[in-house]
Amino acid sequence: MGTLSSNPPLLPLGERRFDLLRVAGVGRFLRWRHSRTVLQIPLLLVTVVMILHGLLGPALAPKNLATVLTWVHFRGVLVLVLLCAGNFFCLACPFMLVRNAARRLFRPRFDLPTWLRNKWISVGLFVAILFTYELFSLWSSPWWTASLALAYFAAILLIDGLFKHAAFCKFVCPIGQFNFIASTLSPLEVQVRDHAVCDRCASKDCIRGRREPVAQTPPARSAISSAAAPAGAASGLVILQRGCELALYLPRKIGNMDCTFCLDCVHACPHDNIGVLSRPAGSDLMIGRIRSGIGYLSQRKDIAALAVVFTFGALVNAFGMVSPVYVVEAWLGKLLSVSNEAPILGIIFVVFLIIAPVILLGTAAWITQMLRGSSLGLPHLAMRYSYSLVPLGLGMWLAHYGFHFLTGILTIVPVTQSALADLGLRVLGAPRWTWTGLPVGLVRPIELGFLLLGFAGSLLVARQLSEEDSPLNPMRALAPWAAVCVLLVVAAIWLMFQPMEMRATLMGG
Amino acid sequence: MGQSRLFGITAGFLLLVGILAACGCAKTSSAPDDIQFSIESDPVAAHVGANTFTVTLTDKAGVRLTGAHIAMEGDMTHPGMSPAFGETKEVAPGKYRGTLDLTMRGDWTILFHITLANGRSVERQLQIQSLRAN
Repeated sequence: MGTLSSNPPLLPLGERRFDLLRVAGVGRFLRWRHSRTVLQIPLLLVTVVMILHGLLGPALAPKNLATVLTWVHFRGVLVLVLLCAGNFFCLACPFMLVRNAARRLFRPRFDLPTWLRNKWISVGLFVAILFTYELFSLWSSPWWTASLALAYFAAILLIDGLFKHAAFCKFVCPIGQFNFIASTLSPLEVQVRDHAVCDRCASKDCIRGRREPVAQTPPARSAISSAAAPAGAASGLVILQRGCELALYLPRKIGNMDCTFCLDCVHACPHDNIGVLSRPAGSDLMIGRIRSGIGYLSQRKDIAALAVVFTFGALVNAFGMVSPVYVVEAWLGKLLSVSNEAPILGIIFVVFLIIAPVILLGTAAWITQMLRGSSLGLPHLAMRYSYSLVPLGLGMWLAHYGFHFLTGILTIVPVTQSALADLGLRVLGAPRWTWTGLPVGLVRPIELGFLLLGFAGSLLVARQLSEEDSPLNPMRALAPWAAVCVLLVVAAIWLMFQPMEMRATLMGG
Repeated sequence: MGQSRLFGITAGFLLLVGILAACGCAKTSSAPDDIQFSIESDPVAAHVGANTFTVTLTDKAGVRLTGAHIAMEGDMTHPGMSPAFGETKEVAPGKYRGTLDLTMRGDWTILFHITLANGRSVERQLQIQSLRAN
């Protein structure tokens, strides 16, 4: 078999990079093939407890584990881990544990149709979750929160029960898409250590899985991967360790897009040539090369749409929690003689997620085209630079989720105490309901810091793109995109200083 | 056979989900109806800041219940937000008054943790929607 050439490394040869898999203790644990399961089990137990408490426990959100853990702790820790490390939540995803267990009972038979192998469904679901979050005030309802988690289990069982590989993770899961796009800014990446080793590799286990002839398989060993086993069995091979289910061929993998950090590739590689390596945060937003499993980022309208929803969705999600939104909805309701909140909310979402991005990105792309005489069409320019907004988007999510997490970090204590007390177990004492978190005055500067960090990151990415597009005068290409970033960060800072007003019904009162 | 098993397991899972969800929906209030509970607030339309609540407790026969202890707790509907706490004093037989400082606009649930003179504990709630600024 001929060897496929791999992408040249992003950093100069010989440059040493931090490798998490080489760290004593942690590295050994992650290289262990059952590390993912060990991480998933406690999260699954927590998820089950959350669901039960959400369905059967107190109806008041601040008193219920489902709402506190989901909307305060999970969201906050998620964005912080994505910023500081990588997509480790997908690594520890409890939904995948159930799915893998289910695949031992039944194996999917179908390949996802080609026309569905894109991000449009997941982008739609991401928007749907943001919309229903506001419409049904999911944050205020333990029952709805628990139902959402149950729906997730049902969806993954159904989709990955029918379709092979990681169809749910790659093409459906909205949380996963959020993690993928945010992890483009993470400092760690699953990547090959030495491309020369990959160039000499003939078996390509990282994507095909590690196989062994059936006759040589001891009875005690069982096939791990389900998707390719039938074919493997037919060819006299059984898969001992599956390769990347998201179709990322490691030597040609660039960045964290579509990487769940499952480490199947690490466990499959016969040369121990894959690590979790450090890299400049955001570097994969600036690379124009073809990527395994993705193609050219600048040609993927669906991923560009994801980047736009990620960024502008952060604004609309924050807008839904401050006083001006009620002024706007009251005005819209009066204007349209509508009292039902769904259409009003729909209009707000259309404005934030479609009209505003089209106007801002379209105008910036047009100005760029005029200033530098680009031969690239407007849509291509807009798509290319839409990725530069991702750092600002993450900054906004960090500011929002970080606020709730830091101001409510200790609320898990009294809620847990109360939940145990309801079961007659007073081992943790009486609930300390006064325990909340950091004062708002202390958290505000942290929020501002996240926003400014995101702003700086977006300028950096836009600058890099403009230097490639217009090396003689990059400022001309940069200017309109910098202006978009300024507008967005000003809007975000304005939102941050608006009085918070969280209502369970948008149009109540 | 594999697909039949898939549908069977999914159907069983959905049935279990439905039962759990129905249990959640069918939760009934444990508030006893032998205690009559009325509230007045000052200002009448609660606002951000200090709000005085006057609670009148009577039994089914309309007799005022004296000697109770009522602690107030204000929670926003969003988890993780700082709750407000306050105590009441019995200002007249069966009438208890206290102040809560509600710090933010939005929806609040005021919990009244009542311990009657005979040691029995009950809880009542007051929903405040769209708390406005002063």
